[in-house]
Amino acid sequence: MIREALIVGFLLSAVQPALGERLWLVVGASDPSAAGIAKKAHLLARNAPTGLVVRTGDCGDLKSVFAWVSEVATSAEGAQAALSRLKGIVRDSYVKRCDTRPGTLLSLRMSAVDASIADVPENAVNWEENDRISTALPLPDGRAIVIVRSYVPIADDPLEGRRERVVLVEASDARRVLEESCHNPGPMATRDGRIAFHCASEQAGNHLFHTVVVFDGTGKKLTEILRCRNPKWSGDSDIECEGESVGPDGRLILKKIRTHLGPS
Amino acid sequence: MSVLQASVGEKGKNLAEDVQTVQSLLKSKGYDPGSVDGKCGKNTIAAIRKFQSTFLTNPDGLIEPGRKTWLRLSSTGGAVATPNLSEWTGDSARWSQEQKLRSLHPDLRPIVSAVLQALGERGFQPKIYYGWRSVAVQLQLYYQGNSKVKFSFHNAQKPNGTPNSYAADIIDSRFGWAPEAEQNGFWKALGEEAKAQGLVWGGDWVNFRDWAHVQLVPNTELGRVKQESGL
Repeated sequence: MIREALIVGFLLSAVQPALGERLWLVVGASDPSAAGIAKKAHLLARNAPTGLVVRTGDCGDLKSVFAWVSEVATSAEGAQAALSRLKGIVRDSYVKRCDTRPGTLLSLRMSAVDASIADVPENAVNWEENDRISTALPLPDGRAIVIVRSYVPIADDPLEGRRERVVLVEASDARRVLEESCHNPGPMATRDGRIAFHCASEQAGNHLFHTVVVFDGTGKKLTEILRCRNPKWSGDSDIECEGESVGPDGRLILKKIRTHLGPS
Repeated sequence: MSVLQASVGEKGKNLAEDVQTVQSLLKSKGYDPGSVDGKCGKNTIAAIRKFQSTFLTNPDGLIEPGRKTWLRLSSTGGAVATPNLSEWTGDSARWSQEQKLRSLHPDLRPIVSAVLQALGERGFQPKIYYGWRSVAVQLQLYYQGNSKVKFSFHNAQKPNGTPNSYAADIIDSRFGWAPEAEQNGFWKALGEEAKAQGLVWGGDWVNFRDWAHVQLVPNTELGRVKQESGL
Protein backbone atom coordinates (compact mmCIF):
# COMPACT_ATOMS: atom_id res chain seq x y z
CA MET A 1 0.00 0.00 0.00
CA ILE A 2 2.75 2.38 1.03
CA ARG A 3 4.74 1.37 -2.03
CA GLU A 4 1.76 2.10 -4.31
CA ALA A 5 1.20 5.46 -2.69
CA LEU A 6 4.86 6.26 -3.22
CA ILE A 7 4.63 5.31 -6.89
CA VAL A 8 1.51 7.46 -7.38
CA GLY A 9 3.24 10.32 -5.61
CA PHE A 10 6.29 9.92 -7.81
CA LEU A 11 4.18 9.86 -10.99
CA LEU A 12 2.26 12.95 -9.93
CA SER A 13 5.45 14.82 -9.17
CA ALA A 14 6.84 13.76 -12.52
CA VAL A 15 3.95 15.14 -14.56
CA GLN A 16 3.10 18.27 -12.58
CA PRO A 17 5.49 21.18 -12.63
CA ALA A 18 6.67 22.23 -9.20
CA LEU A 19 4.72 25.28 -8.04
CA GLY A 20 5.90 28.03 -5.79
CA GLU A 21 3.85 30.63 -3.96
CA ARG A 22 0.50 31.88 -5.18
CA LEU A 23 0.62 35.52 -6.24
CA TRP A 24 -1.70 38.08 -7.73
CA LEU A 25 -0.16 40.29 -10.41
CA VAL A 26 -1.64 43.72 -11.00
CA VAL A 27 -1.12 44.04 -14.74
CA GLY A 28 -1.05 47.41 -16.49
CA ALA A 29 0.33 46.41 -19.90
CA SER A 30 1.49 43.42 -21.87
CA ASP A 31 3.50 42.85 -25.03
CA PRO A 32 4.90 39.85 -26.90
CA SER A 33 8.36 41.44 -27.22
CA ALA A 34 10.91 42.65 -24.70
CA ALA A 35 11.49 45.83 -26.70
CA GLY A 36 7.75 46.56 -26.72
CA ILE A 37 7.20 46.02 -22.99
CA ALA A 38 10.30 48.08 -22.16
CA LYS A 39 8.80 51.10 -23.90
CA LYS A 40 5.40 50.62 -22.23
CA ALA A 41 7.05 50.11 -18.84
CA HIS A 42 9.09 53.27 -19.33
CA LEU A 43 5.91 55.32 -19.74
CA LEU A 44 4.05 53.63 -16.87
CA ALA A 45 7.00 53.82 -14.47
CA ARG A 46 6.51 57.57 -14.20
CA ASN A 47 3.38 56.93 -12.16
CA ALA A 48 4.31 53.59 -10.65
CA PRO A 49 8.09 53.48 -10.18
CA THR A 50 8.10 50.15 -8.32
CA GLY A 51 6.63 48.29 -11.30
CA LEU A 52 8.17 45.11 -12.61
CA VAL A 53 8.25 43.31 -15.97
CA VAL A 54 7.17 39.69 -15.65
CA ARG A 55 7.23 36.82 -18.14
CA THR A 56 3.90 35.10 -17.84
CA GLY A 57 5.75 31.84 -18.48
CA ASP A 58 6.98 32.28 -14.88
CA CYS A 59 3.35 31.56 -13.92
CA GLY A 60 3.39 28.43 -16.06
CA ASP A 61 1.61 30.00 -19.06
CA LEU A 62 2.38 27.95 -22.15
CA LYS A 63 2.29 31.03 -24.35
CA SER A 64 4.51 33.43 -22.49
CA VAL A 65 4.23 37.18 -23.00
CA PHE A 66 5.72 40.08 -21.09
CA ALA A 67 3.53 41.90 -18.58
CA TRP A 68 4.23 45.09 -16.72
CA VAL A 69 2.85 44.78 -13.22
CA SER A 70 2.49 47.70 -10.84
CA GLU A 71 2.46 45.42 -7.80
CA VAL A 72 2.95 41.78 -6.93
CA ALA A 73 0.42 40.98 -4.20
CA THR A 74 0.37 37.96 -1.95
CA SER A 75 -3.40 38.08 -1.42
CA ALA A 76 -6.43 38.69 -3.61
CA GLU A 77 -7.52 41.53 -1.33
CA GLY A 78 -4.14 43.25 -1.57
CA ALA A 79 -4.30 42.90 -5.34
CA GLN A 80 -7.76 44.49 -5.51
CA ALA A 81 -6.54 47.50 -3.53
CA ALA A 82 -3.53 47.86 -5.85
CA LEU A 83 -5.78 47.46 -8.87
CA SER A 84 -7.97 50.34 -7.72
CA ARG A 85 -4.89 52.53 -7.56
CA LEU A 86 -3.68 51.43 -11.00
CA LYS A 87 -7.10 51.91 -12.60
CA GLY A 88 -6.58 55.63 -12.11
CA ILE A 89 -3.63 55.40 -14.53
CA VAL A 90 -4.49 52.45 -16.77
CA ARG A 91 -8.19 51.97 -17.20
CA ASP A 92 -8.07 48.41 -18.56
CA SER A 93 -5.62 47.08 -15.99
CA TYR A 94 -6.49 43.75 -14.37
CA VAL A 95 -5.39 41.15 -11.84
CA LYS A 96 -3.78 37.89 -12.94
CA ARG A 97 -3.55 35.02 -10.49
CA CYS A 98 -0.20 33.31 -10.74
CA ASP A 99 1.20 30.12 -9.27
CA THR A 100 4.84 31.09 -9.49
CA ARG A 101 7.32 28.60 -10.81
CA PRO A 102 10.24 28.30 -8.39
CA GLY A 103 13.61 29.58 -9.53
CA THR A 104 12.14 32.17 -11.87
CA LEU A 105 12.78 35.90 -11.91
CA LEU A 106 9.25 36.45 -10.65
CA SER A 107 9.87 34.25 -7.64
CA LEU A 108 12.87 36.49 -6.90
CA ARG A 109 10.78 39.64 -7.62
CA MET A 110 13.25 40.71 -10.28
CA SER A 111 12.35 42.28 -13.59
CA ALA A 112 12.59 40.20 -16.76
CA VAL A 113 13.44 43.33 -18.75
CA ASP A 114 15.71 45.99 -17.30
CA ALA A 115 14.42 49.57 -17.42
CA SER A 116 17.46 50.67 -19.48
CA ILE A 117 16.29 48.50 -22.40
CA ALA A 118 13.76 51.21 -23.27
CA ASP A 119 16.72 53.42 -24.28
CA VAL A 120 18.26 51.02 -26.84
CA PRO A 121 18.46 53.08 -30.05
CA GLU A 122 15.97 52.13 -32.76
CA ASN A 123 18.79 51.88 -35.30
CA ALA A 124 20.98 49.51 -33.25
CA VAL A 125 22.38 46.84 -35.55
CA ASN A 126 23.33 43.90 -33.36
CA TRP A 127 20.71 43.87 -30.63
CA GLU A 128 18.62 40.68 -30.53
CA GLU A 129 15.54 39.87 -28.47
CA ASN A 130 17.59 37.69 -26.11
CA ASP A 131 19.95 40.60 -25.41
CA ARG A 132 16.99 42.39 -23.82
CA ILE A 133 15.81 39.62 -21.50
CA SER A 134 17.26 38.89 -18.06
CA THR A 135 17.44 35.29 -16.88
CA ALA A 136 17.61 33.40 -13.58
CA LEU A 137 19.65 30.31 -12.92
CA PRO A 138 19.01 28.42 -9.67
CA LEU A 139 22.18 26.97 -8.11
CA PRO A 140 22.21 23.52 -6.54
CA ASP A 141 22.91 25.01 -3.09
CA GLY A 142 19.65 26.99 -2.92
CA ARG A 143 21.05 30.28 -4.14
CA ALA A 144 20.46 31.72 -7.62
CA ILE A 145 22.37 33.62 -10.25
CA VAL A 146 20.57 36.32 -12.19
CA ILE A 147 21.96 37.65 -15.44
CA VAL A 148 20.64 41.19 -15.80
CA ARG A 149 20.84 42.25 -19.45
CA SER A 150 20.92 45.99 -19.86
CA TYR A 151 21.82 48.91 -22.07
CA VAL A 152 24.63 51.32 -21.19
CA PRO A 153 24.72 54.48 -23.29
CA ILE A 154 28.47 54.60 -23.97
CA ALA A 155 29.54 56.47 -27.07
CA ASP A 156 31.22 54.40 -29.76
CA ASP A 157 30.82 51.12 -27.88
CA PRO A 158 31.71 48.09 -30.07
CA LEU A 159 28.77 46.16 -28.59
CA GLU A 160 26.34 49.08 -28.90
CA GLY A 161 25.95 49.27 -25.13
CA ARG A 162 24.95 45.62 -24.58
CA ARG A 163 25.84 44.55 -21.05
CA GLU A 164 25.30 41.54 -18.81
CA ARG A 165 25.52 41.94 -15.03
CA VAL A 166 25.91 38.84 -12.84
CA VAL A 167 23.98 39.02 -9.56
CA LEU A 168 24.07 36.43 -6.80
CA VAL A 169 20.81 36.00 -4.89
CA GLU A 170 21.38 34.39 -1.50
CA ALA A 171 18.91 31.99 0.11
CA SER A 172 18.24 34.88 2.53
CA ASP A 173 17.25 36.98 -0.51
CA ALA A 174 20.32 39.23 -0.14
CA ARG A 175 21.66 40.30 -3.54
CA ARG A 176 25.29 40.88 -4.50
CA VAL A 177 26.63 42.04 -7.84
CA LEU A 178 29.45 39.64 -8.65
CA GLU A 179 30.39 41.15 -12.03
CA GLU A 180 29.11 44.47 -13.32
CA SER A 181 29.96 43.53 -16.90
CA CYS A 182 30.37 39.92 -18.01
CA HIS A 183 29.69 38.92 -21.60
CA ASN A 184 28.25 35.43 -22.12
CA PRO A 185 28.60 34.37 -18.46
CA GLY A 186 29.57 30.73 -18.61
CA PRO A 187 28.93 27.58 -16.61
CA MET A 188 28.50 28.21 -12.88
CA ALA A 189 30.65 25.91 -10.77
CA THR A 190 29.94 25.93 -7.03
CA ARG A 191 31.77 24.33 -4.13
CA ASP A 192 31.19 25.02 -0.41
CA GLY A 193 29.58 28.38 -1.12
CA ARG A 194 32.28 29.46 -3.55
CA ILE A 195 31.34 30.07 -7.15
CA ALA A 196 33.33 30.23 -10.40
CA PHE A 197 32.28 31.11 -13.95
CA HIS A 198 33.76 32.64 -17.08
CA CYS A 199 33.07 35.83 -19.03
CA ALA A 200 33.97 36.40 -22.68
CA SER A 201 36.55 39.18 -22.66
CA GLU A 202 38.41 39.33 -25.99
CA GLN A 203 37.97 38.48 -29.66
CA ALA A 204 40.78 36.41 -31.15
CA GLY A 205 40.14 35.73 -34.84
CA ASN A 206 37.33 33.21 -35.06
CA HIS A 207 37.30 32.60 -31.31
CA LEU A 208 36.54 34.30 -28.03
CA PHE A 209 38.93 34.44 -25.09
CA HIS A 210 37.45 34.28 -21.61
CA THR A 211 38.32 35.29 -18.07
CA VAL A 212 37.46 32.93 -15.22
CA VAL A 213 36.35 34.67 -12.03
CA VAL A 214 36.09 32.99 -8.63
CA PHE A 215 34.15 34.32 -5.61
CA ASP A 216 33.94 33.22 -1.99
CA GLY A 217 30.69 32.64 -0.12
CA THR A 218 30.35 36.33 0.71
CA GLY A 219 30.66 37.43 -2.91
CA LYS A 220 34.29 38.62 -2.55
CA LYS A 221 36.38 38.00 -5.64
CA LEU A 222 39.14 35.48 -4.90
CA THR A 223 40.90 35.42 -8.24
CA GLU A 224 40.74 36.05 -11.98
CA ILE A 225 42.29 33.69 -14.49
CA LEU A 226 42.83 35.36 -17.84
CA ARG A 227 42.27 33.50 -21.10
CA CYS A 228 40.64 30.46 -19.55
CA ARG A 229 37.18 28.88 -19.95
CA ASN A 230 34.87 26.29 -18.42
CA PRO A 231 35.96 26.37 -14.76
CA LYS A 232 35.47 23.25 -12.65
CA TRP A 233 36.31 22.56 -9.04
CA SER A 234 38.92 19.92 -8.43
CA GLY A 235 38.84 18.72 -4.85
CA ASP A 236 38.01 21.34 -2.23
CA SER A 237 40.61 23.93 -3.02
CA ASP A 238 41.63 23.83 -6.68
CA ILE A 239 39.94 25.27 -9.74
CA GLU A 240 40.59 23.85 -13.19
CA CYS A 241 39.89 25.60 -16.48
CA GLU A 242 40.92 25.35 -20.12
CA GLY A 243 43.65 27.86 -20.96
CA GLU A 244 43.09 29.50 -24.35
CA SER A 245 45.49 30.43 -27.11
CA VAL A 246 45.02 31.09 -30.83
CA GLY A 247 48.01 30.64 -33.10
CA PRO A 248 48.80 32.41 -36.39
CA ASP A 249 46.80 29.76 -38.29
CA GLY A 250 43.69 30.83 -36.35
CA ARG A 251 43.28 27.51 -34.55
CA LEU A 252 42.19 27.49 -30.93
CA ILE A 253 44.46 25.58 -28.54
CA LEU A 254 43.06 24.61 -25.13
CA LYS A 255 45.29 23.46 -22.28
CA LYS A 256 44.19 22.49 -18.78
CA ILE A 257 45.20 24.99 -16.08
CA ARG A 258 44.90 24.24 -12.36
CA THR A 259 44.89 27.03 -9.80
CA HIS A 260 45.20 26.42 -6.07
CA LEU A 261 42.91 28.59 -3.96
CA GLY A 262 43.26 27.03 -0.54
CA PRO A 263 40.42 25.78 1.65
CA SER A 264 37.20 27.75 1.86
CA MET B 1 27.10 27.06 -41.09
CA SER B 2 24.46 29.49 -39.86
CA VAL B 3 21.45 28.22 -37.93
CA LEU B 4 17.95 27.83 -39.34
CA GLN B 5 15.30 26.64 -36.88
CA ALA B 6 12.46 26.01 -39.31
CA SER B 7 11.46 26.39 -42.95
CA VAL B 8 11.40 29.76 -44.70
CA GLY B 9 9.59 30.80 -47.87
CA GLU B 10 6.52 29.55 -49.71
CA LYS B 11 4.29 27.80 -47.13
CA GLY B 12 7.19 27.78 -44.66
CA LYS B 13 6.95 28.34 -40.90
CA ASN B 14 8.69 31.69 -41.42
CA LEU B 15 9.90 32.42 -37.90
CA ALA B 16 10.97 36.07 -37.89
CA GLU B 17 14.58 35.35 -36.90
CA ASP B 18 14.91 32.67 -39.60
CA VAL B 19 13.44 34.96 -42.25
CA GLN B 20 15.87 37.69 -41.25
CA THR B 21 18.80 35.27 -41.53
CA VAL B 22 17.65 34.14 -44.98
CA GLN B 23 17.09 37.73 -46.14
CA SER B 24 20.59 38.74 -44.98
CA LEU B 25 22.17 35.77 -46.73
CA LEU B 26 20.23 36.39 -49.95
CA LYS B 27 21.35 40.02 -49.94
CA SER B 28 24.94 39.05 -49.23
CA LYS B 29 24.86 36.88 -52.34
CA GLY B 30 23.42 39.58 -54.57
CA TYR B 31 19.71 38.67 -54.48
CA ASP B 32 17.16 41.25 -53.41
CA PRO B 33 14.48 40.10 -50.95
CA GLY B 34 13.50 43.72 -50.16
CA SER B 35 14.25 44.97 -46.67
CA VAL B 36 15.69 42.68 -43.98
CA ASP B 37 12.64 42.83 -41.74
CA GLY B 38 11.95 39.23 -40.75
CA LYS B 39 8.73 39.16 -42.79
CA CYS B 40 8.45 36.64 -45.60
CA GLY B 41 6.62 38.51 -48.33
CA LYS B 42 6.51 38.09 -52.11
CA ASN B 43 9.91 39.78 -52.61
CA THR B 44 11.61 37.32 -50.28
CA ILE B 45 9.96 34.33 -51.94
CA ALA B 46 10.85 35.69 -55.38
CA ALA B 47 14.48 36.10 -54.30
CA ILE B 48 14.52 32.52 -52.96
CA ARG B 49 13.13 31.24 -56.27
CA LYS B 50 15.68 33.26 -58.24
CA PHE B 51 18.49 31.89 -56.08
CA GLN B 52 17.15 28.32 -56.47
CA SER B 53 16.91 28.73 -60.23
CA THR B 54 20.73 28.73 -60.42
CA PHE B 55 20.88 25.09 -59.31
CA LEU B 56 17.33 23.62 -59.28
CA THR B 57 15.19 22.84 -62.29
CA ASN B 58 11.98 23.37 -60.29
CA PRO B 59 12.43 26.16 -57.76
CA ASP B 60 9.74 25.94 -55.07
CA GLY B 61 10.54 29.08 -53.09
CA LEU B 62 11.01 27.09 -49.88
CA ILE B 63 14.15 26.73 -47.76
CA GLU B 64 14.29 23.93 -45.21
CA PRO B 65 16.99 23.28 -42.59
CA GLY B 66 19.59 20.80 -43.84
CA ARG B 67 18.21 20.70 -47.40
CA LYS B 68 19.96 21.67 -50.62
CA THR B 69 18.84 25.31 -50.83
CA TRP B 70 19.84 26.02 -47.27
CA LEU B 71 23.22 24.31 -47.68
CA ARG B 72 23.91 26.43 -50.76
CA LEU B 73 22.67 29.64 -49.21
CA SER B 74 24.61 29.24 -45.98
CA SER B 75 27.85 28.22 -47.70
CA THR B 76 30.63 30.55 -46.69
CA GLY B 77 31.46 32.07 -50.05
CA GLY B 78 30.69 35.57 -51.18
CA ALA B 79 28.44 36.67 -54.00
CA VAL B 80 27.24 34.01 -56.41
CA ALA B 81 24.52 35.96 -58.20
CA THR B 82 27.06 37.47 -60.57
CA PRO B 83 29.40 34.87 -62.07
CA ASN B 84 32.37 37.25 -62.42
CA LEU B 85 32.42 37.68 -58.63
CA SER B 86 33.31 34.05 -58.06
CA GLU B 87 36.86 34.98 -57.06
CA TRP B 88 35.43 36.08 -53.70
CA THR B 89 34.38 32.58 -52.64
CA GLY B 90 35.95 30.22 -50.12
CA ASP B 91 37.34 30.88 -46.66
CA SER B 92 38.48 34.50 -46.75
CA ALA B 93 40.95 33.86 -43.90
CA ARG B 94 42.85 31.62 -46.34
CA TRP B 95 43.01 34.12 -49.20
CA SER B 96 46.37 35.54 -50.26
CA GLN B 97 47.54 38.78 -48.64
CA GLU B 98 47.01 40.54 -51.95
CA GLN B 99 43.40 39.36 -52.18
CA LYS B 100 42.71 40.27 -48.54
CA LEU B 101 44.03 43.74 -49.23
CA ARG B 102 41.82 44.03 -52.31
CA SER B 103 38.80 43.04 -50.22
CA LEU B 104 39.15 46.23 -48.18
CA HIS B 105 37.33 49.51 -48.78
CA PRO B 106 39.44 51.63 -51.20
CA ASP B 107 40.08 54.21 -48.48
CA LEU B 108 41.24 51.57 -46.01
CA ARG B 109 43.56 49.72 -48.42
CA PRO B 110 46.46 52.25 -48.54
CA ILE B 111 46.20 52.90 -44.80
CA VAL B 112 46.47 49.22 -43.94
CA SER B 113 49.40 48.90 -46.36
CA ALA B 114 51.13 51.77 -44.55
CA VAL B 115 50.48 50.15 -41.15
CA LEU B 116 51.89 46.83 -42.39
CA GLN B 117 54.98 48.58 -43.73
CA ALA B 118 55.55 50.54 -40.52
CA LEU B 119 55.24 47.40 -38.42
CA GLY B 120 57.67 45.60 -40.71
CA GLU B 121 60.16 48.41 -40.26
CA ARG B 122 59.87 47.94 -36.51
CA GLY B 123 60.99 44.32 -36.87
CA PHE B 124 57.61 42.60 -36.81
CA GLN B 125 56.21 40.18 -39.38
CA PRO B 126 52.70 41.56 -39.84
CA LYS B 127 50.01 40.00 -41.99
CA ILE B 128 46.31 40.46 -42.53
CA TYR B 129 44.40 37.57 -40.97
CA TYR B 130 40.98 38.83 -42.03
CA GLY B 131 40.05 41.54 -44.47
CA TRP B 132 36.55 40.93 -45.71
CA ARG B 133 34.42 38.17 -44.16
CA SER B 134 31.12 37.01 -45.62
CA VAL B 135 27.81 37.45 -43.80
CA ALA B 136 27.44 33.65 -43.85
CA VAL B 137 30.73 33.23 -41.96
CA GLN B 138 29.76 36.00 -39.54
CA LEU B 139 26.43 34.34 -38.75
CA GLN B 140 28.22 31.03 -38.32
CA LEU B 141 30.58 32.61 -35.78
CA TYR B 142 27.69 34.30 -34.01
CA TYR B 143 25.56 31.19 -33.67
CA GLN B 144 28.54 29.11 -32.56
CA GLY B 145 29.09 31.64 -29.78
CA ASN B 146 32.41 32.76 -31.27
CA SER B 147 31.42 36.34 -32.01
CA LYS B 148 29.28 38.90 -30.20
CA VAL B 149 27.90 40.47 -33.39
CA LYS B 150 25.82 39.36 -36.36
CA PHE B 151 27.09 42.18 -38.55
CA SER B 152 30.57 43.64 -38.31
CA PHE B 153 32.62 46.12 -40.31
CA HIS B 154 34.38 43.09 -41.85
CA ASN B 155 31.11 42.18 -43.60
CA ALA B 156 30.72 45.45 -45.49
CA GLN B 157 30.20 44.97 -49.19
CA LYS B 158 28.97 46.77 -52.24
CA PRO B 159 25.28 46.11 -52.98
CA ASN B 160 26.30 43.68 -55.74
CA GLY B 161 28.14 41.52 -53.20
CA THR B 162 31.70 42.67 -53.91
CA PRO B 163 33.77 42.82 -50.71
CA ASN B 164 34.24 46.32 -49.33
CA SER B 165 35.47 45.70 -45.79
CA TYR B 166 35.83 48.63 -43.41
CA ALA B 167 38.00 46.55 -41.07
CA ALA B 168 41.07 44.31 -41.02
CA ASP B 169 42.57 41.97 -38.43
CA ILE B 170 46.35 42.24 -38.38
CA ILE B 171 48.58 39.76 -36.57
CA ASP B 172 52.28 38.94 -36.42
CA SER B 173 52.68 35.76 -38.46
CA ARG B 174 54.89 34.26 -35.73
CA PHE B 175 52.48 34.79 -32.84
CA GLY B 176 48.84 35.07 -33.88
CA TRP B 177 46.91 35.78 -30.67
CA ALA B 178 49.32 33.80 -28.45
CA PRO B 179 50.81 35.57 -25.37
CA GLU B 180 54.03 36.22 -27.33
CA ALA B 181 52.20 38.90 -29.33
CA GLU B 182 51.84 40.97 -26.20
CA GLN B 183 55.17 39.98 -24.68
CA ASN B 184 57.00 41.17 -27.81
CA GLY B 185 55.07 44.42 -27.97
CA PHE B 186 53.21 43.62 -31.16
CA TRP B 187 49.74 44.74 -30.04
CA LYS B 188 51.09 47.99 -28.64
CA ALA B 189 52.95 48.70 -31.87
CA LEU B 190 49.87 47.86 -33.94
CA GLY B 191 47.78 50.27 -31.87
CA GLU B 192 50.35 53.04 -32.26
CA GLU B 193 50.72 52.65 -36.01
CA ALA B 194 46.99 52.23 -36.66
CA LYS B 195 46.05 55.30 -34.63
CA ALA B 196 48.84 57.32 -36.23
CA GLN B 197 47.07 56.60 -39.51
CA GLY B 198 43.70 57.68 -38.09
CA LEU B 199 42.24 54.18 -37.70
CA VAL B 200 40.12 52.92 -34.81
CA TRP B 201 41.96 50.15 -32.90
CA GLY B 202 40.05 47.34 -31.13
CA GLY B 203 42.73 47.13 -28.42
CA ASP B 204 41.28 50.35 -27.00
CA TRP B 205 37.90 48.75 -26.32
CA VAL B 206 38.22 48.30 -22.59
CA ASN B 207 35.06 46.24 -22.16
CA PHE B 208 35.77 43.81 -24.96
CA ARG B 209 39.24 43.91 -26.50
CA ASP B 210 39.88 42.97 -30.10
CA TRP B 211 43.65 43.43 -30.28
CA ALA B 212 44.15 42.57 -33.94
CA HIS B 213 41.25 44.67 -35.20
CA VAL B 214 41.54 48.03 -36.97
CA GLN B 215 38.70 49.83 -38.69
CA LEU B 216 38.20 52.86 -40.85
CA VAL B 217 35.31 54.55 -39.05
CA PRO B 218 33.90 54.72 -35.49
CA ASN B 219 31.43 52.12 -34.21
CA THR B 220 28.60 54.63 -34.41
CA GLU B 221 28.73 54.24 -38.20
CA LEU B 222 27.91 50.53 -38.20
CA GLY B 223 24.27 51.11 -39.14
CA ARG B 224 25.20 53.36 -42.04
CA VAL B 225 27.77 50.85 -43.32
CA LYS B 226 25.26 48.02 -43.11
CA GLN B 227 22.73 50.07 -45.04
CA GLU B 228 25.34 51.08 -47.60
CA SER B 229 26.12 47.37 -48.03
CA GLY B 230 22.49 46.73 -48.95
CA LEU B 231 22.16 44.36 -45.98
